[in-house]
Amino acid sequence: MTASCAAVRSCLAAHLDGESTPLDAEAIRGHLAGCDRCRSAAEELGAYRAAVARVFRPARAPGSLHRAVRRRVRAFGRPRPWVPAVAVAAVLASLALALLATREARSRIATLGETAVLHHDAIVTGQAPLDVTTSDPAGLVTWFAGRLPFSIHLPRLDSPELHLVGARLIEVAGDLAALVVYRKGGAMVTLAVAPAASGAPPRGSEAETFRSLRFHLSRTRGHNVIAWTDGGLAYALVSDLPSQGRASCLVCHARGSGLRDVEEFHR
Amino acid sequence: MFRRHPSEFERLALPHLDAVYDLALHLSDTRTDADDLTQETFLKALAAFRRGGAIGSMKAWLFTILRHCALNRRRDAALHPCEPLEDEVAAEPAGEAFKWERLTAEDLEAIIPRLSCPAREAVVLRDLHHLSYKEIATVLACPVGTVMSRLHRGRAELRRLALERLGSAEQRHAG
Repeated sequence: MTASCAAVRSCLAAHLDGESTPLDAEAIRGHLAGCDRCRSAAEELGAYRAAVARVFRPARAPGSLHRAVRRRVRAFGRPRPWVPAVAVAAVLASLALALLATREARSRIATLGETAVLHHDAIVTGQAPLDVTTSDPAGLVTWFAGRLPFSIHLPRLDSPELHLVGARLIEVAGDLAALVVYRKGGAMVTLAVAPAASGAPPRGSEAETFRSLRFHLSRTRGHNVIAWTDGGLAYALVSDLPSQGRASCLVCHARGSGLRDVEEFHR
Repeated sequence: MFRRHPSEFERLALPHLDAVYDLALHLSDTRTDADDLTQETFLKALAAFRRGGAIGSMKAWLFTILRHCALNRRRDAALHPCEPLEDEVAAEPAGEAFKWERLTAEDLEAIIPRLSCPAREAVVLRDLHHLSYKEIATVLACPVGTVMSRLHRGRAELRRLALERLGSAEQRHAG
């Protein structure tokens, strides 16, 4: 094979694929006209491309998938649509979700706490899947890093009772937000994190100030909600567990958790 | 903050749903996985789309997200990721000529999954979905030169497998 043959061969596929090559197209065509071996290689590559174009028919997505994707795109950031469920509990939860969604749409106001409760219920009843399941806080922070316009910090848990389960992206008042799910015993604990601007305090909440932070405690749809803002972000913690003040904070803010020391904000 | 509306995403992205699903099938073990992967891709794409940012080719961008999702799933399932080939330089196809006109859709469907992963990705993106080399480089997060060598290797593998398949079919026919 001559040097010019080698040069042409190295560019042949790109040339036939319509890509630019270091060799001028005219030079390649000129070489092919006078070189049987390179012309033969070009003809076989051309025949390959023609055969693939002739026989390949891309798979068509099933109609059900088209409908599911369209429905989820249109419902993005809104509560999941009602779907038939086997369990009575799930049916009741769906109705409650629909009622809350209607009320939410009518008032066009959704606090972070209310939205977090909505998603908390949907996750507990299996209506809304998690986007990611993991027990690794650092991995989850990385997962969120490419998806959220802000950074979040999650505790390195040393509590044997509280376990990270996973997370999903949600939308709160037009902003993307994080929903992190933990499990304590048999109960689900959900933490929502959003830009502070979208995190108005829950309606009807009681406020308590501990040193530098103001916490809003409320009961929303039967759940305990603790909401606060810190460092430009709003937080809402949803659970059925009783609030135990400092002891509750210490679950995540224990020494070695990587978060602020509880002494910095709690008496 | 300016946010693109989901209806704009629907108009621009959903026409590529069949192509995304087809690629998902090539990167998944089952149709159920491909379904899930497709849905995950569009939801992640929508979240990113709403945040703004430049998107060149919508199809290539969706493919990039799809591939990331597929790699994450394989990693989470502790499966082997799509590792780059140790030797990116492909061997020159040699030997007997192959009559490509004999290739059927069934042959192609049977051969493509047997290609090595990096080569398969390049062949599927270029020869089945007609992405440019630059777009493929973006999807695979590698230089254009690597795309060229993987494509070259993939086509050589495909040719070898086609020869094997059609050769054994001929032998069965003769027998």
